[in-house]
Amino acid sequence: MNNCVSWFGVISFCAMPFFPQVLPAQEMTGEAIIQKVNDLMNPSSTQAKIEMIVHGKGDKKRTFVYNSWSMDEGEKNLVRYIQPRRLKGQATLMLNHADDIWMYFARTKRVRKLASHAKKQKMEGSDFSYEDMGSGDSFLTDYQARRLDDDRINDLDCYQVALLKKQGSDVGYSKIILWVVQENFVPIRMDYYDEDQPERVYKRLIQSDIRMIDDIPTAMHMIMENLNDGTSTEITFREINYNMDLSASMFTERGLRQ
Amino acid sequence: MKRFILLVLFSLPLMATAQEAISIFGYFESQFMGAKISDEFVQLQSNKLRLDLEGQIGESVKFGANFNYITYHGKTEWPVLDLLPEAAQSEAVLLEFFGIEMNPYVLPFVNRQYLDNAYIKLAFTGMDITVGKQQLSFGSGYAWNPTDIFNTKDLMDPAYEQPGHNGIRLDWPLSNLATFTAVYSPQDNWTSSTKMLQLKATLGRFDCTIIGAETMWQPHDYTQITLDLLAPGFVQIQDECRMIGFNMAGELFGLGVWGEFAMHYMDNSDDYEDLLIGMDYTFENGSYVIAEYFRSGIGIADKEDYSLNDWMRFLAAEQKTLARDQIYAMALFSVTDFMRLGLSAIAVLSDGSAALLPTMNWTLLENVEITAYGNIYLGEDDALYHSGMGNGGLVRARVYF
Repeated sequence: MNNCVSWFGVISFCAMPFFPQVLPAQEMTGEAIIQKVNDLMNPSSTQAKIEMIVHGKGDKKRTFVYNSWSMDEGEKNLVRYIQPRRLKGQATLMLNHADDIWMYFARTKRVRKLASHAKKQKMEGSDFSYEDMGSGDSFLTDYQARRLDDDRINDLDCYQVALLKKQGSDVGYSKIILWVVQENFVPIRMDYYDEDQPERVYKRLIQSDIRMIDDIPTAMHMIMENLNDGTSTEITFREINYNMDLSASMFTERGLRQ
Repeated sequence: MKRFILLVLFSLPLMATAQEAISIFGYFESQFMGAKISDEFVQLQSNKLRLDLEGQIGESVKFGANFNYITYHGKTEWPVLDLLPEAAQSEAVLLEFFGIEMNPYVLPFVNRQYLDNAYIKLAFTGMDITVGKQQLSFGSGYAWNPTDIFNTKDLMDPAYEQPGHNGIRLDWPLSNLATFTAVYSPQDNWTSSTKMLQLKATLGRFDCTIIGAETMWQPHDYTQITLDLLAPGFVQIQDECRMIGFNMAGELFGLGVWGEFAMHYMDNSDDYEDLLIGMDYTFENGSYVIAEYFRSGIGIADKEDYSLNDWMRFLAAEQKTLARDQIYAMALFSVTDFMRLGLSAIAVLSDGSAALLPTMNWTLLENVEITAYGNIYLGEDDALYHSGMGNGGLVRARVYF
């Protein structure tokens, strides 16, 4: 599974149910922390309205608004643009953790199946790719977890865990380091290391404005910085709902065309 | 009439305010096109306003329509014969009335106002029915779609929106992985109407589709002119066509792959088959390459045999191609996150000609897009892409609202 931050993950990392810790903090291994993060980041379904602001080089700024739905623990994802007008109605359906992608072009009313290499494309010039949006279990399947020394960020005690790329995996990062809040397992910072220059931080995700929504701690704001080219992408949840009764028919070509 | 249209246009936003379920959007497009034909650089400019209206009543009824207003300026009458090789020109029939010669082989660009789409979509529990003028696009190919009996794409801009077609469309999902579609597009009578059935299913990593269709192919005979003195035109031919087709799209060895095959059984002309194979790939840096091979049985294998009818039917989009074997290839490179440069090439294997199409797409602002195309034809004088077709290009600015 080739991914960095799954879109489902993007939602879920911001929105992990507040589970009581089973083990004392000092006894948690890196694997156990990531397993817990992964277990908790999979609500049965999610619906969100999202504002995405892409800060390009210089002062260039683009704003996108879209609706997003996921179900079956993030295995199915659907994204439909509301703004800008240029993209209104355009939609992307991702199944099997984004291994299968279909795009619907509202202006031509065409559905096009994309091969998995299309996952590498940036989503509308943002710092998130399509694969960032659609796959959720990559931290378990593509990386080896190792616990580092605990850290403290923004007055929050955090586990620090390194995810090291497994041999044979085709993910785009050599390593990811997560700062996971011990109290609620929300990763408030993630550093992505370059595949070709393993010691270099390539991208950094910062999550903030954590609120309890339906008893789930939810980071309503995140920013992904590309430290390589100086661009960044902000995501703000205008609405988010969990464990809704979504129909599987939403995640079909018929649903994509609606 | 114009006052009425303006009244309607300006009333729509008010209606939208009053009725929140109605969404109004669209775009304004201004396009400049130039081409060197013979020794002259001719220019054509067009302005297009497209106004889309979409609404929903309850959970199960949606409706949509769009109004288009296009004006043309500059060279608004293109003498098509000037673009064609001498052999094809020699077949042309020129009219003469009272000593005045008239050339019927003119492609006019006339200001137009029209309703391109106007449909109602009824979403039932188990099926969707769409009634009215709607876009009907089928097939997995990018530049050509052999299994699409409704549309013929412009190779200079294959992704441009297709016109609406009158019809009734039924989509019936048999499961989450299979959908049955039926389309009936009425003409004068049942025989001349287009009927289409399609079964689409996901099999592993592939989307596979079987299509059966019956339609009336209605090309013109450009060597015969009707005897209507008030409105002379070319004689239209009726040729019933039954098509059986198959198309697929999926992934193989990391490449996106697709294919289409269509067998056409004709009543009054030779049966023929069309085959398309395509593949694409996206690189880590976002660069994208695509290639398609298209073999058309209706296309002519030897350029010496291109007739006036072949040329005219191709230029009038009455048939998908003129030549037998062609390859379309395109590479797109991201210069910035909002600007892409590309180069498309069309190679006609059966006549040795080619066209190069450099492209640029720049998303200037969130809702402002600038697109530029060039076209450079490299074939011999009697081949499909010869310089006599007019080397040049176009620049298009589009603002969405």
